[in-house]
Amino acid sequence: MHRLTPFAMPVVLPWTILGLYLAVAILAPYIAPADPLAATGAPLSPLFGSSGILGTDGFGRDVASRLIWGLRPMLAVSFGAVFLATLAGGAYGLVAGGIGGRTDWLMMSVVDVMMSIPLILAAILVMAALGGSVINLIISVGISQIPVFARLARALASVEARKEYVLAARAVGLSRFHVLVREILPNIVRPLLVQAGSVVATAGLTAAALSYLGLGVRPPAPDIGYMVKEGQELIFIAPGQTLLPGLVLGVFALTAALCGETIGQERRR
Amino acid sequence: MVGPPRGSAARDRDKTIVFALPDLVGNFEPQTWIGFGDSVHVVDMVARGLTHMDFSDPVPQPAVAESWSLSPDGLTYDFSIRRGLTFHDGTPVDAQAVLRTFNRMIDSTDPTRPDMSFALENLGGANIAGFSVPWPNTFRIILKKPDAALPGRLSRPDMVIISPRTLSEKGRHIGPDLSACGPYRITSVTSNERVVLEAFDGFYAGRPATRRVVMEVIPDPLAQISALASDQLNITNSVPYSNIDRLGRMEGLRFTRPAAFITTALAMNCSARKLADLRVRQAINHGIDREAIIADAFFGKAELPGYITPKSEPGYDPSHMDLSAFDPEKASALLRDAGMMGMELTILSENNGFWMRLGQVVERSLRTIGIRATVDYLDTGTFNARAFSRTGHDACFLQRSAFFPDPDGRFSPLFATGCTVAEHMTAQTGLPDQPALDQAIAAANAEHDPTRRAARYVAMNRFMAERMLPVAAMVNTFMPVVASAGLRGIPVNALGTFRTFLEDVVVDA
Repeated sequence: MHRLTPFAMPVVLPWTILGLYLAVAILAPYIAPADPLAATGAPLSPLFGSSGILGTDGFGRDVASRLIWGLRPMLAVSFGAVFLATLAGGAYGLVAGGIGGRTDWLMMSVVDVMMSIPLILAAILVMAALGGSVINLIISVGISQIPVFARLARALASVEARKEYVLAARAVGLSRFHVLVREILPNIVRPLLVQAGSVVATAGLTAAALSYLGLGVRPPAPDIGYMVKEGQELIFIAPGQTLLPGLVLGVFALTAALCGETIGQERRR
Repeated sequence: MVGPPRGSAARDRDKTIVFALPDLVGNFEPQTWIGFGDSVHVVDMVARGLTHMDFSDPVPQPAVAESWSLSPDGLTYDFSIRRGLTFHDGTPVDAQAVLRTFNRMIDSTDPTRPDMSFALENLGGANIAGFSVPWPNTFRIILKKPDAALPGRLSRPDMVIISPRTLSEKGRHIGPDLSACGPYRITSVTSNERVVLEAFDGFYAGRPATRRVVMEVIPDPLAQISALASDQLNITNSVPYSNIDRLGRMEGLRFTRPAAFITTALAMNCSARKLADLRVRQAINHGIDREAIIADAFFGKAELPGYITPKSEPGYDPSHMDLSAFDPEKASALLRDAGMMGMELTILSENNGFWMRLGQVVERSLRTIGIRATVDYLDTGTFNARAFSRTGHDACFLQRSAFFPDPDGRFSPLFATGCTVAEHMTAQTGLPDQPALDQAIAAANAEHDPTRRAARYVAMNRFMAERMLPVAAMVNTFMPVVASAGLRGIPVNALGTFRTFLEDVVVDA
């Protein structure tokens, strides 16, 4: 009898859901039933009522439209932050591991210091300094994830740097930059991408947590994390106000994590 | 002088009331208390000042002082201290003990003086000429200018009398070991968990009706709601406004609407170029849709303001309602006249409580009159750092509660030259009418006839709104007090403005 594990799930399912999220976010202007910033009905109208399929929030704004538009910052931050962290952390680790010696020790000591600060705390500090916007969220969450990629890239690069093809490249007098970028980098890219896939979910949750704490996208712009926060105090009155965005966020995190797993699974084969 | 048990319910002495605290650091030093939070609740229960105001009327009542007199020139108050009182630690309450409490406000060489104390400023600042004990059991306060609000100020939580033994033993670090002469004494403090208070037999007004009060830390408002519903909690004043109606309908619980002593306002930085023109500030004032704020941010639990003095204090007049009226056409016209149509305005707000809902309403309504407003939501520390800096903001939200129900409780700390808000947050001290305002505040404080004094504040409210307007009043509100239906004697008005006097609360059998 087969055990039902995430690895046994059809690969297509999480990717389909993720694709759906992306499609909805991209097509938000065309498929959202109403302006997410405008009041379209009485505050806290019920689900499946005349004021929209998912009702309205405390300001009378259409919840379905806000959820659809709220996907945009969530996905932008998730992918943008991971892109930033992969790029910056990967480059940093590549240099450290590729050069080695004291440079490696010094650079990784900085990373160790960064790792000693909890990721969410680091993100909070950056957001408090920069202020709330999607770009700042990407920077904030991205910076908080840099050490993860830096350590991985450094470990991979230092292994590669001792291999014969690298020694040969150095022996023929290729520049350090050439060795790092043209010889080592191509051999560490795939594991970094696998890591990136698995961090997307974390980045999305971190971004939502920042919005929940009031440090994310500035209201009234729709944002899933802030919708969870705003609806939380209404949970006994209008539970959908917090449960619906929570569900959207939860499905995204699970889906993104499963997609990351499938990338890793593919690589292990 | 020790009285009989309070109320008629001696049976209640075996009962316990559980009160919710949002947090508990465990420092009950009264003179470093500067705002809301845990310590004010405990200080109010444990300590009392020379006078007491219960927020049922604007008249200070005797407390540690049984009476007081004022010299004909209005500059010297003599307070007669009750005889026979003791602190919780057994030390006698006398004029020397009172002097010691007050001297640590003013004497920079006093080793018990706490760092970062605003107590002297709250008492009158530079207007205090000195303290003395002219006769046994008489404590004297000497002023430089008359101050009719002084007896009221002495009821503030930072004016309470502290045991000299505590000061000798703890110095400037009182921490959780506050011994005073209030209705309850501290029996245990567990940081971030609870404070247990026991009724004090020697309280000047008699033993409190209920023997034990547990102040339990329940930071999450939703957890407070659950605790109320399951009878684990008896009183709270920190549940969300959105849940009040539902809680009030639940069996076994009761919501009583307090008087609205808390003013929520928009402070405008008059030194910012874009806000230097009075017409722009007036446009912002008339461009704020207060009805929408009441509906969307406070779920109906707030009321329209006049100007800065709320309906519940002397100095309010119904004619003030036009001062803060929402009038988008007038606002747009003022903005156009000032040549500022389409101006950008950044408003600072805290990112907790109702502020983020409030910010959305204000942003929306200002945009309708032609101001491109954005609200920056900040953590409390960043907010305070920027709001109290002339260069850190255009405008910011401001909340002012009545720590004693007297109109000067708002005018002096918000508008007078030398106060932090006027100097740094609104920078109104650079406005040409500031000297006239300072004179008017001084004149009002020199007026001891309540009717004439109230009339002065009525005029000052209008003067401020029409000539200066550094602050736009948005709504008046209260802390929502929800309690078990079996409790009587709850001081709703006081709890509605962060003051916690539970000594008269009786638990029904």
